[in-house]
Amino acid sequence: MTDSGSFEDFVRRYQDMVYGTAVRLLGDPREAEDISQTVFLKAFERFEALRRSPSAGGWLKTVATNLCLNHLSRVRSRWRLFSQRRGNAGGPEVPYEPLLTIPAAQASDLERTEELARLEQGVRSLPHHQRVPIVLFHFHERSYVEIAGLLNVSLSKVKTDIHRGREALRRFMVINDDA
Amino acid sequence: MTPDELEALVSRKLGRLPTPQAPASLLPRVLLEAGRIEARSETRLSRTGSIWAAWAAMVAAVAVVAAMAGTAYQEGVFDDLWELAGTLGLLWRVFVEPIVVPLAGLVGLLAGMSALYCGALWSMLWERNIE
Repeated sequence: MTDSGSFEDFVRRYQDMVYGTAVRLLGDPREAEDISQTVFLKAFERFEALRRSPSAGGWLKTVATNLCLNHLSRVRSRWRLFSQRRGNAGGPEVPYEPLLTIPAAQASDLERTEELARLEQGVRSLPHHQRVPIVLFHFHERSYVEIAGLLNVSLSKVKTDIHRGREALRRFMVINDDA
Repeated sequence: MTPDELEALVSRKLGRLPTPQAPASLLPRVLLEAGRIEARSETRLSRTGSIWAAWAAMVAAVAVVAAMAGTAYQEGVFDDLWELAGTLGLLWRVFVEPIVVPLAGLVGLLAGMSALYCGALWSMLWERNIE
């Protein structure tokens, strides 16, 4: 079907990008790894076309984003069912691992690494309804209108969630800086 | 801080974040599963080949039987077959005809139950599919 060596190289080349997309959207490293695996298996099924395509990275990112959004909408609907039973209106919080894997070589010094780690942690700790639009806006360069369409919510909700998410992110950073 | 300033600050800070590294376990997981998919695909291919071979064998068998029947017809073997059919008709009249009504009832009952079962199974699968 395909040359396993070249597929391995393909996965090596894009695994950080796919995993990074998934972990930021989902906020959970384990779920992100599952989604990343699914993305690469979809790529494997059409590897002959993808291996020569210059837009393979974009294709992988789009598939990863769509799978994450589908996953989150499933989690949300499941959570809504449980919260209705419990009478709890709070949003779902998928647990995340506090350990961050940021390569030290990419940070100029330890303080900078710590600051980046805190910020990454801050992004992942946001609730879904704030984290997802923030990630789509700041990491995927999506407009407010596009995000509203992707998430099937109103434009005003997207703007409010993103603003509150930024505020939360800033507070998170300040609190940690003070500590 | 105005919303625009906040957006600029967050954009600047998030822009500095490096791409998170994939865990070391991801690559082996993907390769293992891809290997499984490939193995399944090969099995499916060989199964498809077997099905085509079986069809070819059946067509060949039908051709051989037709050729043999043609030869037999030419040689008058069918006269013997008519005799055999007469014998089978006799057996039918002696053993089957007396109980043909209850037998038909039994067959009808079994067919009705099968249809009922298939209908229930179909509606169950249909509902599950809709969900």
